Amino acid sequence: MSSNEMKNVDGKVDRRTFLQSAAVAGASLALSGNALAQAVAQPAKPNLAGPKGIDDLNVGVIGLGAQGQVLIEAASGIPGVRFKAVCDIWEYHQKLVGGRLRKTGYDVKTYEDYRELLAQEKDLDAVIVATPDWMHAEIANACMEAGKHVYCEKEMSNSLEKARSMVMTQRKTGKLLQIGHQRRSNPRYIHAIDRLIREANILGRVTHAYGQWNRSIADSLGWPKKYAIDQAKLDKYGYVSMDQFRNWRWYKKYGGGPIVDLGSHQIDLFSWIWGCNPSAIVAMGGMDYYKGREWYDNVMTIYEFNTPEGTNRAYYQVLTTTKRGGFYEQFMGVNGALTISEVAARGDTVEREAHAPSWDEYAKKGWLKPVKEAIKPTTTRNVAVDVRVTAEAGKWPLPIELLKPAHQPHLENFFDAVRGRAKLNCPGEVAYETAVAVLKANDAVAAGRKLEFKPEEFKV
Amino acid sequence: MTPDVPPLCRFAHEAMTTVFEVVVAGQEETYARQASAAVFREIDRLEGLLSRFQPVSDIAQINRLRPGESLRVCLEAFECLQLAAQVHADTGGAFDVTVGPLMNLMRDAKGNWQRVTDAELAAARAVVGMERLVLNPQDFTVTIRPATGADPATNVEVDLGAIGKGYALDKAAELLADWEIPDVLLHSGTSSVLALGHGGDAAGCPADQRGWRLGVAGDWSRQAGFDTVLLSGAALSGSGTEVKGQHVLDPRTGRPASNHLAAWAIAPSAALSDALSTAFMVMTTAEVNAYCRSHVEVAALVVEKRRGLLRMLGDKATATPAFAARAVPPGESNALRLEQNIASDGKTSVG
Ligand SMILES: NC(=O)c1ccc[n+]([C@@H]2O[C@H](COP(=O)([O-])OP(=O)(O)OC[C@H]3O[C@@H](n4cnc5c(N)ncnc54)[C@H](O)[C@@H]3O)[C@@H](O)[C@H]2O)c1
Repeated sequence: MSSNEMKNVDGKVDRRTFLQSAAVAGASLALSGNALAQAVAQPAKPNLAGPKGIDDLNVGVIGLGAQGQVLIEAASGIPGVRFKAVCDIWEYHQKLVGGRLRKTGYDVKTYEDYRELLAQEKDLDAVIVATPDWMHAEIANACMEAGKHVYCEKEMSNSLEKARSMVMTQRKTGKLLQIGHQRRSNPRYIHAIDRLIREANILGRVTHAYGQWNRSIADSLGWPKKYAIDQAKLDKYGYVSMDQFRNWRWYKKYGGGPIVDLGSHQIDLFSWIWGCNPSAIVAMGGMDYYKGREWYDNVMTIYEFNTPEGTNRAYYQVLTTTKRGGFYEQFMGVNGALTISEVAARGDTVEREAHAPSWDEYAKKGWLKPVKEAIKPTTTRNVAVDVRVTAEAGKWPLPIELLKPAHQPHLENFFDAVRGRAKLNCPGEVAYETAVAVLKANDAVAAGRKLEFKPEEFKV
Repeated sequence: MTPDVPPLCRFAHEAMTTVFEVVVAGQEETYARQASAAVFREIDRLEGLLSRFQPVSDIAQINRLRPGESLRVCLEAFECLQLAAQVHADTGGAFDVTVGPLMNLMRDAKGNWQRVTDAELAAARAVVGMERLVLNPQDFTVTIRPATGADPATNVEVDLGAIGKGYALDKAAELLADWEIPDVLLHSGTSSVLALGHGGDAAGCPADQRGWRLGVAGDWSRQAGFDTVLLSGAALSGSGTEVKGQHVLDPRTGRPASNHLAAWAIAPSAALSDALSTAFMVMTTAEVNAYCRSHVEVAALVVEKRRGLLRMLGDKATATPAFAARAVPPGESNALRLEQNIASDGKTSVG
């Protein structure tokens, strides 16, 4: 299309027309580039929409909000994943995500009601569930009953009874149920916890652990006027108002508040480190800053773990009025402390206590980076990572980088398990134990005293 | 009682190593704030996909590919690369998002230009070039071609710094359309400004002048004969030498771009104006004029540097007719200014 054809009657080029024609022009240009592709090795063509190949998996996604979109982005990088159906009760997200997927070559149907999706889509292998917490159990259970494997976001549920029903449905149907505590599949965390802390015992006895997730003040989420859902439909799907529908995290009906939302990822690590569940908890918190919301906007909690080595304690805080320190976890042992965060720039090192046995052998094995090796802010051929933090003296950097989106390894683990080639890293039973530990923090705030856990509480 | 509608609401957010600002006209404050928050979340999402500094972004992943390898990328990264390829082709190679290795060679750690041998230059030029990226719109893959004339195993260094911020403004505008906010001005640290609808009196724009007044030309406004343009449904980007020094390199020669001291581009999309403002620094004035003749939707203003910096004041800033047509005579600009108004280095400002 020539530029002249884009002019309106008054001779001006309309912005939208231009953007469309630019996209068309770009496409034809890149097409001519296609011939160049012959000159280089041909990649295996992703089969996004055609007949299903042996390693292809047909996937549905229910809940297309912020996290649904993150998971779709991360799963698009996994060979064989074909999005076939997406579902959201909100037309806005349905259109946005459906449109994006179709544009990038997926043959995807959109649904408002998950029951309709399950009734129509008979050849789905797996479903990803990323709705607000209160709907996880109902939807995940229906999917498993319909014969689909399920990847369901944390928190399993805001009610332990509903979370338990998910484990029971999983057992009954024999389908896979992976819960979205993605650190469980992150190679950096696996290296730090399984290899350095548990196998090599590099920190000695880990007497204490610490975690925090601090965020700046934030307004309630809004919505475009024209996409407001009418009250009849809100009622049908159980939302009191548009405000509660958008800001569900802050209301008891739908979620567990910040401590569950954010804390769940990190409190989950404490039982991974120590290989046991907590025995008691104290917590304080309150609705101290925001008005008109239900859940505590700050919670500080201490968990007690009775391990074979003795009693260890873990402190966790979630603040929503300051981002000081951001989010990270720290495991403190008698021989050193390991600091890690899902974003490596926020935590990626181990500090050695002066009296600790030498760590040189770990450096030799490549389990730690030797502390004296300066981090070079250079670009090597295959690892072009701009290092913007330099190692501080005495801190041994962790040797592993995750060069994929943070949720991708956990999704890969799930899809590998669906193909029968892996064991789930966070099956329902494990996530249930975490839900028991995490949801109790809200109870402890309400009770205002120390609460005990009984070992059988963690079992389904 | 209807809620108060302030004439303008302004919200700022740091992302992509700059400060984005949204200036909304004629909307209730809470609604404007929530819409801007949605815009800023979208810009953060885009930064995660497009920034080469984020090790897991599609661009960082492309930069780690070896020749012959392919990556399926997201819609957003693909659209940016497609437009970059388009501008590269349309400007005869004056715009090139793969130019990083040449920049690294030509400038020392402090960013000063340094002497290099012809052999060094040839080696760096061999690994640079948009043609090393094969974009396949059928499956959204990017494939890396081997470098010819250099170590064929060398990877590519894509940097969307000269197009990504503009692209983010375009995406923000799409989102604001969902929110039915027609009168809004968006800018990325003032280097690119996207003006939609009408700013109204508070933005220095009476009703008979539909649009937003944007300051341009900076120190060269006297030679240009105007310091403000009127814009609506279009974007303006500026590139210059003052703040960052001479930071633009001519990908066609590997040498510092020396044709212009500053350049501005007006285009229907901010991604395009962003890319073109850099290209116009590099191209000769004749090339810029030729480009604008064959792309009537684009307008240009460049400050020539024919006889070197000392004689600059005697030279004339050159505007294409389309640019001059949008100019507001100096006496008439009663301007609202951006806080980060750095108009003298080829950046733009709200006028
Ligand atoms: N693993 C992580 O890192 C992580 C991060 C953020 C959120 N999450 C989890 O992901 C889930 C979604 O969170 P979010 O931030 O995307 O929330 P969100 O509000 O942005 O999105 C929720 C989406 O679900 C839709 N929805 C609500 N009820 C539905 C129903 N009955 N059927 C179908 N769709 C329905 C909404 O319309 C909305 O589009 C939550 O469980 C949250 O805890 C996990």
